[in-house]
Amino acid sequence: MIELRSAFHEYNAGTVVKLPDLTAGHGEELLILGLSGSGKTTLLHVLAGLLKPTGGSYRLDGTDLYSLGESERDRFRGNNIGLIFQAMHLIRSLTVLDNLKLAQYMAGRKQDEAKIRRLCSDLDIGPKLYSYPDELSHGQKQRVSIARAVVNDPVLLLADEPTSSLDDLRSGDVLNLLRKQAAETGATLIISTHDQRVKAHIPTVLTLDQPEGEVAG
Amino acid sequence: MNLLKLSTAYLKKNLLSTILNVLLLSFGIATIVILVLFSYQLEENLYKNAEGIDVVVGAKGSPIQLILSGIYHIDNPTGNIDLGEAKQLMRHPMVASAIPLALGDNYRGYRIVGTTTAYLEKYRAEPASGSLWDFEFEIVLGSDVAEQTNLAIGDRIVSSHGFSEAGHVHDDHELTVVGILHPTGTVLDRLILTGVETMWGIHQPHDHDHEDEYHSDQAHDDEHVHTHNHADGDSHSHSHDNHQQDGHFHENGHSHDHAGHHHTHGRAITDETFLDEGYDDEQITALLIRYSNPLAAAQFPRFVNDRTSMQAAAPAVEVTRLLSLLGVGLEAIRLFAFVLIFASVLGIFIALLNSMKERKYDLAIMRTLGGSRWKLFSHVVLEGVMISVAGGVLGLLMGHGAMEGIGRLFSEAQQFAVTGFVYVPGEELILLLAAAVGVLSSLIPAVMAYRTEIAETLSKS
Ligand SMILES: Nc1ncnc2c1ncn2[C@@H]1O[C@H](COP(=O)(O)OP(=O)(O)OP(=O)(O)O)[C@@H](O)[C@H]1O
Ligand SMILES: [Mg+2]
Repeated sequence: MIELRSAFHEYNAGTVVKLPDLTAGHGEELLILGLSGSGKTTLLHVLAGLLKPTGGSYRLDGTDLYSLGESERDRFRGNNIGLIFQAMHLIRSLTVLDNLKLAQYMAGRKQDEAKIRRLCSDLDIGPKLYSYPDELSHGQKQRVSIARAVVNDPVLLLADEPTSSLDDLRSGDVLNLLRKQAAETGATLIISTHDQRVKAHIPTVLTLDQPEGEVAG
Repeated sequence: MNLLKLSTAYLKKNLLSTILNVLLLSFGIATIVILVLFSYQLEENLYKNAEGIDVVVGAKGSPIQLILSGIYHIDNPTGNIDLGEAKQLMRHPMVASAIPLALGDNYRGYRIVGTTTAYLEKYRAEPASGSLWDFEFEIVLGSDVAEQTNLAIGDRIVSSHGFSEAGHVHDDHELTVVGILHPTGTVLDRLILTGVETMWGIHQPHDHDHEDEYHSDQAHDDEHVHTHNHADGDSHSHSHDNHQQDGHFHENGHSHDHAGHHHTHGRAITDETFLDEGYDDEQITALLIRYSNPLAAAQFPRFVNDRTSMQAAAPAVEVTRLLSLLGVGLEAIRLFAFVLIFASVLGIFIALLNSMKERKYDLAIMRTLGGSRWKLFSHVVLEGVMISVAGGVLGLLMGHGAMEGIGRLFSEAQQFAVTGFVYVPGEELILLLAAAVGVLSSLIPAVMAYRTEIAETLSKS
């Protein structure tokens, strides 16, 4: 269960991004639509515990993330929140298997290779465990980044523009995978995009307003 | 997965720069290791060989030269001293013991030292095979000499005059190997030892005249042990009737036949009888003296230098002077090593700094995956330390290897054998220096990793 109330973020440059009020329970799917600059990424970063909002309150399963110490928050994030980016940011010097083990290691979890193998065969990248990211196709990389986001059974799965550079068919695939993985762990799935095609897959939509007039700091 | 594996993965990815940095540091470390090994062995050699020698008495000249020739058998001697005069010093109350040395010949570059068995006792040298000399013209080989020349007991050699192989050959006196010493780790290993009287015997004038040679060779006058003519000069036998104080020397006379000569070889002068044997108008090269009481150090050298035609030089003083002279050179090499190490600090720093730029996203991702700032900091420092410790270990190995190589290269040329197979107490501390290099050079990149702003970094993708 996530709850965001009357939050906003003011960047150093003086740009204030107002964030919508938002509630989502376990297993729910939410699509955040908005034009470029409307604050989608800012919202996801706040939800992920990466960016402390200047004002407002945020709770994830009752935990006030931003009242935690920084290291605790990192650990909490590693164990409870899965993140997927448009640029997948896999670690190029590690194999697929090690990228996934890294996720378990950084979250301070037991390194469970069997689980990784299961997950990867679910995602059709089983034979690529020992490949390096540079040896994978774009779609395969995307699957690895999905696997990395769900390997620690997060309660919240956040995807920032996961489909923007994909064709219709592939974007449908990725959305299905995300939904399936989220459903398997009972996670709340929040996808942000300006890609209108996603609407066909996820009916619950939150549309962000046009960026407000910039306020001088 | 752990930090070690993670750092290794990044090092592997930049293999070339990793290897270059490891090598760069290892050269610096190796240079220091060589210095440490060299000075250690040098000092050990210098002090070990001079142990129990409070002062060396020889002909006037450079005191360092007297020490170098008298104890370490490196430089040419300063000249000779009259045995009669030397004996007066040996009887001096401040002198507890005095070992006479007569130099002047070599065999294939190995110095032949005429002395008494006290010299061998001082270095705790015992024959590994054969025995010590009992008679004139019998020689005992140091362990290295035996090994390098392949001489065995019973072999006969002729010595060359002077200290290089090129010297005039004393082919009319054959020397017989009667013993080979155990290795002592001292200068003895590279010497050929015999009784003093052998040296006098060798240099006795013979039928064929080589006076001209003697005089054409300037160094010769200094080196020559025997410069006076015996009345019985045409005889090869040492029947020093004229010196004899009591009859026993002659009675012990021993006659045998070899190489067609008929030598009458006298029984060797022993340490106990040395003072009483006579021969006072013979010459020796140096006396190695131990004082009977520590106060002598202040008075005895001054007495010798002021009141006699000889000079006294204290090894403790001269060795310290020598090391301080040498220290300047060693200091220069040490400086060079530190320049290399500083260069490798820069090298590792630049390599890590560059990789930080490439790895900005990786670091941000690690944070999103739950890694703390300190974990990223350690990850980068570990990387620097891994390079530097690898460089340190490699440098240690290379330093020992190079020292061994140098030792072998000069094994025949130098009086001090140096080896790479030696452990200098505390040398492993150099790994701490290496680790410090790693920490130092990775500190700034690690701080950069620590300060990674996740949201900012990720939204710049
Ligand atoms: N690091 C930053 N410093 C200053 N202003 C920022 C920063 N990041 C974002 N902003 C501003 O905040 C507003 C929201 O940006 P955000 O990245 O959240 O938009 P977005 O909806 O994700 O846009 P896009 O679809 O282009 O990714 C924009 O006006 C942007 O200029
Ligand atoms: Mg965005």
